[in-house]
Amino acid sequence: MLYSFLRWLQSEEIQGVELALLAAGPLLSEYQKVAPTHVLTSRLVRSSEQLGAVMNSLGHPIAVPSAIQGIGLRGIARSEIVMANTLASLSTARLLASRSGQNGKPSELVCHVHELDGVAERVLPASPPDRERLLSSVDRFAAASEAVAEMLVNRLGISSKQVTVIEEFIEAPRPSSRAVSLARRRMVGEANRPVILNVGAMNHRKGPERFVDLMATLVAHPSLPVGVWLGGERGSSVWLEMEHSIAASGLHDCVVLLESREDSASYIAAADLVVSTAIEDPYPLSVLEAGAAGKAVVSFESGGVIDMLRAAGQAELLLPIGDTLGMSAAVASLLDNPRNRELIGAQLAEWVNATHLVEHIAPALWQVVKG
Amino acid sequence: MSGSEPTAQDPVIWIAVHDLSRTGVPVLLARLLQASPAQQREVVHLVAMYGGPLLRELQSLCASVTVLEPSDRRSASSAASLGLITLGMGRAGEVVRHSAWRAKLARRPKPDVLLVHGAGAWPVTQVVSSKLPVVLHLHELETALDRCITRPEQAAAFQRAQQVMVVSAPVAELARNRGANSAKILMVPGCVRLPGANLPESNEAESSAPETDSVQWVLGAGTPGWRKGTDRLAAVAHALQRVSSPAQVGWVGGRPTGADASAVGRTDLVNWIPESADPWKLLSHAAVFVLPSREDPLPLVALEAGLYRRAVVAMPTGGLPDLLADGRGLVGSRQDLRWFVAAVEQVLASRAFAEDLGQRLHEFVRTHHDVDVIAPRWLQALSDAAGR
Repeated sequence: MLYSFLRWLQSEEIQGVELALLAAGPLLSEYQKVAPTHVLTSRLVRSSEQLGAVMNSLGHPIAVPSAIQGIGLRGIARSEIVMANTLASLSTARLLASRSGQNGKPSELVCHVHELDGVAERVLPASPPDRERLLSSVDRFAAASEAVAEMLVNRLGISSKQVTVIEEFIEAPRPSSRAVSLARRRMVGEANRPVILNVGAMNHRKGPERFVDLMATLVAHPSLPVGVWLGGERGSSVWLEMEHSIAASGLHDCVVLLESREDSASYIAAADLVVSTAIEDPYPLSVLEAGAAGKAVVSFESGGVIDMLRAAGQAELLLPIGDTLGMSAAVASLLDNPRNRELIGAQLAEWVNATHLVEHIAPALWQVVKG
Repeated sequence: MSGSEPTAQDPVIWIAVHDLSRTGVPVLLARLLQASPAQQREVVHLVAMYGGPLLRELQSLCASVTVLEPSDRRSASSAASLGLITLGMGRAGEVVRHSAWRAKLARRPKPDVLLVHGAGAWPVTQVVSSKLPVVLHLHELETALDRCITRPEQAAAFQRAQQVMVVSAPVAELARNRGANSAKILMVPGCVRLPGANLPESNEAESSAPETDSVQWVLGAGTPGWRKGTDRLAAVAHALQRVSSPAQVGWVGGRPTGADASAVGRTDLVNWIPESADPWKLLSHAAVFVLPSREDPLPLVALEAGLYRRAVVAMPTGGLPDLLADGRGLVGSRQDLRWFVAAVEQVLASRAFAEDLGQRLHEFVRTHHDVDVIAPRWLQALSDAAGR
């Protein structure tokens, strides 16, 4: 989503935006095309963080002086506004903001929060005073969904005046027909079987074990659906658990695990139905992409997907978290009725394409950033 | 400890265990030690990688307990070791950690045999003589074993072990597949203490749950997570609610945390009950005892359910299909949530059926899983390995 936002800024000819990445990744070259990009490889920053972690673990917490850590950031230009793109990057963003801006005044700090409670708990400082200090350094928050805003205000003690809901947005996916047919072949070969797709990192928060259970309840469906999990790293501990579960459920012919791919849009376009088995997800982009592609979506009720399906008039496709048999019934009903599936897909496409593309929401996010 | 003094014939036994939590592996160890003669317990020294709530009980059951690492933070040696490993100096990191462990164990009597009670304690073999006889009591199935001992190291581990005790037939098969010689494998399953003629009846136990007499409870127990299949309880609870069943679904062992925790504020029909020293005060009231496990070699709670004549519905994993065969419980032919929910509903619908299942399981557990039968076999295997 950040990449989409940067592209929008570029298209609007908005100048002066630089990007600081905590680590390089597969999208680095794409980022470099749309904004001056720095990768914080500073050993000093990392070493000081490691030192802090080791001392904490020994029961002797120390605060590494920000001045020392700041040395690692000196290659980055001073700015009047610093935006943390996640809670996880807020500490570093605060260091950047703690240096005075170009005009000598302190930089304003904005945090775009894409996390819900479980992840927030993990990435924020454990010590309440440290956590409060970090959060109170933020001038404005953009929350990725109503659920995220509720967490910030009700559980992290942020004033509601500082929080604006800026829902996730996407660029309209336009996979080539060749990419779509290739994705289809990777998922089901030449078989004429419906594909139920779940896109997400392979961790328990995304519910891959529930996805396997879901597919086990659908093996007897006459359409012989294939479940595809797109995301994760082959050989990771959860991946191995899923391989075990697939074997134990006798689902070798019914469930396919595919590693994370950048062209998830092709897989979504090639699928017949998209599900989200996440038990905590602020606003899954894959669900927006599925909507934009005209695919029906069935999901557990967590985060922004609740807002999306309700707004599109499809609240019955939301199931309580963990109600795998309820989800199975909803999926089976859509498999039984392709016409209804298409109708729902069309409604979602209309809603996403009218409200949640980058051009609809990026201006509001930019407004929050500018203050 | 009291009792007669150990003799020169009694081998000094070190028992390594990963932790002293109130979970199946440490609980079984306590149970086996409790059933062992006091004289033999005098020569047992426990080496726990981490502590836990069973520490005090185990201290009273053996000559010494050494806890190698603190549970709430990293020790200095562990932090240094981790630092070295992070810097790519893995071998040096291991040396630092093992040196600290050896120092902690230096004052313990020299062992004649090391029992590794659960594969999670395998790292302790690194700090004893390579000539010391090692017995591995395997309580793990595939994914758990792979986490404890890396796949490439498993064959060497099974060769190093003089004897491999296993808790169920699938565990034995796994050990064989990973390099254990069949002749080394000995079945030492989980066990329960039978309280003589006064076997507990469900209505004798006190309950810590409200309205246990008027509400049908579907209960399970264990450490929440993928392995125990605790996520499936929500599916059971929602399915029961859909058919307007008044039954309540609960889990004793705490609420899922971390990546397993559901989004805050969303509907959760499951009653998450904290772990307790005596979970059967509540569990003995279960109308159905559920084992939704994805991987479980032979859970002690299944045997305990038999002790309390509870009807058990289980997913097929580890030794459960054998335990629950012949009408001793309901067990699926594959991991199938729809079947599981239907089986729970079937038991809830007929008290007579539930009582029949419970009684059959009770008789089987009494015959095959009595700690007074298993513990001598266990001790004898350790003596044999020590060459006494």
